[in-house]
Amino acid sequence: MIGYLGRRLLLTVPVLLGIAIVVFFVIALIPGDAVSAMMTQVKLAPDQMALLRRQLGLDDPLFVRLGNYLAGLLKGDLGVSFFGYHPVLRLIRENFPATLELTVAAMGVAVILGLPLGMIAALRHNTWLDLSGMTVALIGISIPGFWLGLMMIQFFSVQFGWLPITGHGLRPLIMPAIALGVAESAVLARLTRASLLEVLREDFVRTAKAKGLGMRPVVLRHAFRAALIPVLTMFGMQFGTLIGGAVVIENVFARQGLGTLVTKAVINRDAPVVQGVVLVAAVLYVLVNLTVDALYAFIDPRIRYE
Amino acid sequence: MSQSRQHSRSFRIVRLLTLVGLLTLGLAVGGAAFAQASANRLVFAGNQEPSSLDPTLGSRNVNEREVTAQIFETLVYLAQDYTIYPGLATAWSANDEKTEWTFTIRSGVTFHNGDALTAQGVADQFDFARTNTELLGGSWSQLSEPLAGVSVDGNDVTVTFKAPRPDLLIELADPGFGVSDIAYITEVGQEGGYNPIGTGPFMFKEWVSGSHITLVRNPNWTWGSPMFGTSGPALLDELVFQFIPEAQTRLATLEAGETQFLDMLPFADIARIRDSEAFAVSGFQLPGMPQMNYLNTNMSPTNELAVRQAINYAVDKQGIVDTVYFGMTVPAYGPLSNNFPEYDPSLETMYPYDPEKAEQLLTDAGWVDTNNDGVREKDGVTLKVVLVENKSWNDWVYLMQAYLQDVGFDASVLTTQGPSNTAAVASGQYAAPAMGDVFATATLMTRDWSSEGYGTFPSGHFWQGPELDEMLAAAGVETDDAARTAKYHEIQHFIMDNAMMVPIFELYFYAAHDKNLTGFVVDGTGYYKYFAGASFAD
Repeated sequence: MIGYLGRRLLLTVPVLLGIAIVVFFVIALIPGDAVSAMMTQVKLAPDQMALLRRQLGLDDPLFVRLGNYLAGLLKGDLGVSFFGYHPVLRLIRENFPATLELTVAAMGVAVILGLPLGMIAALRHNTWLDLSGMTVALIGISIPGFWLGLMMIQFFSVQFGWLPITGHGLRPLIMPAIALGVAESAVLARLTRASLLEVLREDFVRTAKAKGLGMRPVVLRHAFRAALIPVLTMFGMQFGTLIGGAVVIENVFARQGLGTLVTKAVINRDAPVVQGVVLVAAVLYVLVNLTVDALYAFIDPRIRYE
Repeated sequence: MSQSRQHSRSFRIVRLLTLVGLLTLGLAVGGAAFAQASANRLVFAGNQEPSSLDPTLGSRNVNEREVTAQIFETLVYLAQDYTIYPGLATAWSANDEKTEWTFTIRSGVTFHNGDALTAQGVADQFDFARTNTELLGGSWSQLSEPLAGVSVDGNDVTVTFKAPRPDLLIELADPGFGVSDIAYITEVGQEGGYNPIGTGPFMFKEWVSGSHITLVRNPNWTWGSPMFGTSGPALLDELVFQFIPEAQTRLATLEAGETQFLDMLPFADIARIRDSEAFAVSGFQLPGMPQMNYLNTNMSPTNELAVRQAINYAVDKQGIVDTVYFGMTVPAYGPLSNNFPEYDPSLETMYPYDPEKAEQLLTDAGWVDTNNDGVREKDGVTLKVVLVENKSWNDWVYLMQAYLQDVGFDASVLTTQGPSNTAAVASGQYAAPAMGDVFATATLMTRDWSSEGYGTFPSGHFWQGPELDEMLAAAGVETDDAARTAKYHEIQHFIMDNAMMVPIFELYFYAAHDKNLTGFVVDGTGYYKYFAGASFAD
């Protein structure tokens, strides 16, 4: 297992390198740069713009800039923001915990809502419980998170004052976590239902029932664990979606986080910040999926990594 | 593996997953909603996070200056009626040519770190701007090249410029010209932007990236400008600037009571909030260049005067004001706002809404719809124009597109945002880029109309003759008020006679705030608010 995980970690290096290069070129090639962004607020004279571009290295040839960037990466230096010259690592360190908090909370919402919904739908297959559960899931997948967030703000905060819109702590986290987690819970519910239905048709489940076991131990002790494998796989893959969704939700709820940070950086063409945040997100995504892979062996003893 | 061990393993998995879900909700325990109002705490719902909080280090946008205006003080202040009030300078004078300005610096002023503000310190500020190239982007950098020298005599600082600077006082009233502790800046460098030290009524307390900036009252501040209505200390205990990029969320925080001051109230919500008993709404006209579209004189078809004039006649400004902006602003008629003393009111009758006249001009110029598809052509070329929009700033362009289509243009809209907008305008490849600008003195219209900006600077008209540059240069150094007004009238007429733009509407910002909040002051730009004298009435 250790060897397997070690090899997977080593393979992430070229993946991250590729991501870094792609993001670099995307930012470099879209119209406008950081100086252009500054011009939307402060009109600079042409010679000032030229000098600023020179100071920020924006007038260097593209591959020189790429080389400097990759050289910095090797030293663990993500550079400084073009706006305010704040070290990118510091900005990420300051904003990352809030994004992690929101993402984990949303995952919690997804698990709490999605797993039971999917299980009930599977166990009550072809009944009104199944139909209504999947209808709810369909609605959950269809509703855009930002719309749900804005509606919750109007209803729970403006109309009734039950929940705060902004701030730190548990109560301000509830609405954004739900707005972000609802779509994931719907996906989780549908996949849990499908996976559990398939497992319930397996021979070993029939054997367990034939031995006289009640439905509860059959499901919880035998079937559910087997059904978890594809659910876990999806969970790991959906983590990337959650990170992306966090960008929108953080902006809607004015939450501190990497989403707010990267949104502003993209608009301002603050390349070092965009590159840094994307790299961090990529590392997170890889680590989450590695964790999922490790959990497979824990859940299913048949799975062994050489 | 035994059955019992498998059983316990299954339950452990289920319990683990459920626990993860429950624990995540308990991750951040405690903490009340962010901004519960207290009697002396004001939360300002801003829209964008600053990059730096020291004006000397690069105050590059208005959001930064809104905050730095509370922490730093300027030499003078500009009121809404264009009166200049003393700030850190108690008196000033200039020679007849306006190349040499002398400021008497207020005594007894200290920075938040205890350092005394001296005339030498102010001189060091000007010298720092003149010699330090790392300041680029900040307001102080605008003086880098024009400054010739600085000298000190007792409490007086004399600043010399290479060319006349008749509007220096109005320039220096901008919060971007807040006076920093240069010794501190020299010591800490860019870090000073994260831990600003000023002389203002509020001191910096904390900056939570992506969330908010908290300022606290400066108990030692007793030298407030008369414009504030108080000499100090400030009445508020705390002033918090919260960053809320989404406009509807910003408004929701005001309605939910989490914030007490909102800038840039959406036009669609003005009437509703104004009718609310809990809030007061104030509208401020921002001086400068009204919201408009440049007309690119260096590309077809807008290189034809008849086409440019037709565009002016085809656009119903009042219709745009009523439809897009709910009647909350007024039409504009030229390159300067109507609240400038140099504004020429004769422009208001130049291009009334007259689509028939627009069609006649186009027909006389040879643009006719030969194939009855609703679009005019000439010599095989379609009458096509692209309106460039800076997303969420230029909503009128869609209605303008319809007006132009009505008279036979193939009009389309290119949506850009921020730097891509600047790049598009500077490219010179589009016929009608939308634009606007805010400045408090007519001298600064040069940055929107000078040929210096072609290709790099968002000036989108690309007029090729030298006349405009010459007129702008002459007006910028004119020290006689009557002659200056005449020169700016001439410039405005030149621009409109040649139809280098389509003025649309005067820029108004509406602010909404808790009805109990009183005592704040808005400066002559209509944008910057000063909370030194603000408090909540009982």
